[in-house]
Amino acid sequence: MRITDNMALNAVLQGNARTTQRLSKAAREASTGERVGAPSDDPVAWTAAHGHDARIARMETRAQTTSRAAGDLELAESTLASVGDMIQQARELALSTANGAVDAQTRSNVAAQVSQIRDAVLGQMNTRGASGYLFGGTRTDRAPFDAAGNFTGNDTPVSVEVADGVTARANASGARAFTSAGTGGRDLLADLQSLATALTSNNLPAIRTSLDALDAGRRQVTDTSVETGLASERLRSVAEVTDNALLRTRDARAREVEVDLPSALSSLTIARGAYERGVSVTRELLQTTTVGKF
Amino acid sequence: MSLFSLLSVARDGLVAQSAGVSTVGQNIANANTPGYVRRGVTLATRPIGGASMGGVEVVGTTRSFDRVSHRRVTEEHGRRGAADARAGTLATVESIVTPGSGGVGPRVNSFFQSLDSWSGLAGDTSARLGVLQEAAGLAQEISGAAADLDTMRGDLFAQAQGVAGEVSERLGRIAALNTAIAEATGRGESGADLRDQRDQLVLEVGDRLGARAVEDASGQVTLFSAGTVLVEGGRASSVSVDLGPGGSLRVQAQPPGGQATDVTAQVTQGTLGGLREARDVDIPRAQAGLDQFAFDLATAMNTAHASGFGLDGSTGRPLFTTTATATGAARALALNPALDGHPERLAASATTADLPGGNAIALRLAGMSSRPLGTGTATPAERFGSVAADVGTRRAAADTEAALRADTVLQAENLHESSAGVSMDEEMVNLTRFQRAFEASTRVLRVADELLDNLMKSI
Repeated sequence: MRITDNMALNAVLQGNARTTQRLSKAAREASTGERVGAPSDDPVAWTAAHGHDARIARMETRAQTTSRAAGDLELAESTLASVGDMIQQARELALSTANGAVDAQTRSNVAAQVSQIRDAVLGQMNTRGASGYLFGGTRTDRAPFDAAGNFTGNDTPVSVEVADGVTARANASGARAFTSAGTGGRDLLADLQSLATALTSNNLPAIRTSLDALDAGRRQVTDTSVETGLASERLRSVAEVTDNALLRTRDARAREVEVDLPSALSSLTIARGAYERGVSVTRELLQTTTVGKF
Repeated sequence: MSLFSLLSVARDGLVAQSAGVSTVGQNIANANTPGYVRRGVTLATRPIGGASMGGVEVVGTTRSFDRVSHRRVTEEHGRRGAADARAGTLATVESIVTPGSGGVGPRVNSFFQSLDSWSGLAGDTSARLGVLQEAAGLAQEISGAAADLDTMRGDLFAQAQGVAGEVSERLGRIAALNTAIAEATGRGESGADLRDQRDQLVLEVGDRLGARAVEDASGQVTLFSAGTVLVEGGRASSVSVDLGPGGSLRVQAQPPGGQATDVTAQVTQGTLGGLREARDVDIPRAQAGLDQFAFDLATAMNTAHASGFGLDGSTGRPLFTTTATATGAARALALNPALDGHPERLAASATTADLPGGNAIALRLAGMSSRPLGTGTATPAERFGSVAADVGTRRAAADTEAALRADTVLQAENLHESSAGVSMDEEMVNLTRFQRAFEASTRVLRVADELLDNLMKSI
């Protein structure tokens, strides 16, 4: 077969074009650390990575949402614990006056303390968290208890998604903790007010009656606190599981699209060598001529 | 043989070797001329009387043209033209559907992230603004990609018209050259330069439309392409491109004074074939995928959102606006204007009693990220991923085809070049050979002259 100058040159040029392409690919992979930048690089790997990206995005936000909800529940739990303590304090004050040795003046002074406790409890009931008022159900935009102690919220649960298609409650029930909404429930503010009134009026039987009511109220708060704590723990646990899943998903994504760096650098070196050899061969070919030698 | 005959022989030698040098010069000058086929000079002895010691004469020039290899080059150019045009177009389509950073895929994810965040803070204005911003951004991204694909189809139509114009112009020149070649042949000339030009034009038509040329005894070619005869003798059809009823390219061939024939279905090769497949098969497929994705997303989102209540108590509002059917849904996708700038109208609660913290609807909207969208089992991200992956798969296949065609073209060109191409080595050798022969003929002439001179002086 006759070999002409153009044939030799075209073959080298085509080889150089391929080598340049390979060098460009190797440089991109080495600099970005990824071998898949577009679907056409590897449609299967790109699709898998795209799915991982969606899951990663979902898990990242879910971790934030779950953590925020857990934070609110922890705040609600500690608030409920404080309220329980206050109720206990009010009960102890009532107990100290529930005998004949205490005079009316003393009871009147205790009544003032009980009123202060009531006000403090009211303040706790209107605690705000990241998502708004903690104990108003879905009425998160306004204080669930007014100055008179009337409950203006609801007992509708607010949930967050903790896994695909799985939700968990993310708010504490103010209605069941502080009002008589539940079966046999006690209205804490009303009970405290009744106690203060009984103390002011020096009504010993009423004071003794209040003791039982406060006991029931404290149990009610404690029950809700435990329930809230469990919900908070559950969310914290979910957040932890989500974090672990996030790490695994990121690893899986990396396996799909990332290059092994030593291999990438090695490929780059090989491609650069091939490119330089191609240029050298082209130069040699162009210099190899019979023109002027005859 | 007389001394005077020797003078004639020397003269013949000078003329013949000069012709050889000229041919070599022509070959060297045209070594890089597209379509040039190397020439050779054919010498033969010229009898002088009945003696065997005749002179030399140039009986013709040869053109080392191999019709078979040229046909193969033309065919391979047609295939490469189609592969290159399709691969180039699909590269752009891929960059539209999945740009290096951003694009619809990441937007889908950030949109659902905003819904996730909002579902935990249903009454929060900043979370609501975040959802509106992401929804508008996603709609804009999808709509922008669809618009870019539409624009691209328009550009490809214009490009196809340009290619058709180039083909028609070349067909006319081939016909004119056919006539000139026939006339030259009639005059007993080779018409080699005309044939070079004509065969190069055939190759260029092959690049653009695919072509096959058959030469007749008069040297004229009949050119077949797109399933029809486009050049016959001195008559050339024109090729035009317009839009058919469905908006697809329609390629028509019209002979002079004849009726235009729709040859669209036969246009599978050359740049025009590649553009047609990319414009009317690949891009519509991507558009249909994007449309169905946008329609299903909007439908699912709108159904859920319309069932909820905004902070202002309003209900029944869709989240997105788009077309009533999937066709054109991506291009028309937009955030419901009634919601734009009104975060309070986003519906998170299932009932008015749950306002403002009720998040049942927000949870439902956010949860769609992990639920099947429309028919099938794929989530929204997976649905878009399959559209992008389809484009990527097609582009990868087109790139592979283009690389393969580059190889086969090189092989075919090498085969043709091995007979038609100019080799500088050969030309240098030939140049020296003819130069030496010319010098020797000069010497013969001088010797003959000296002999005659001596003879004349001796008388």
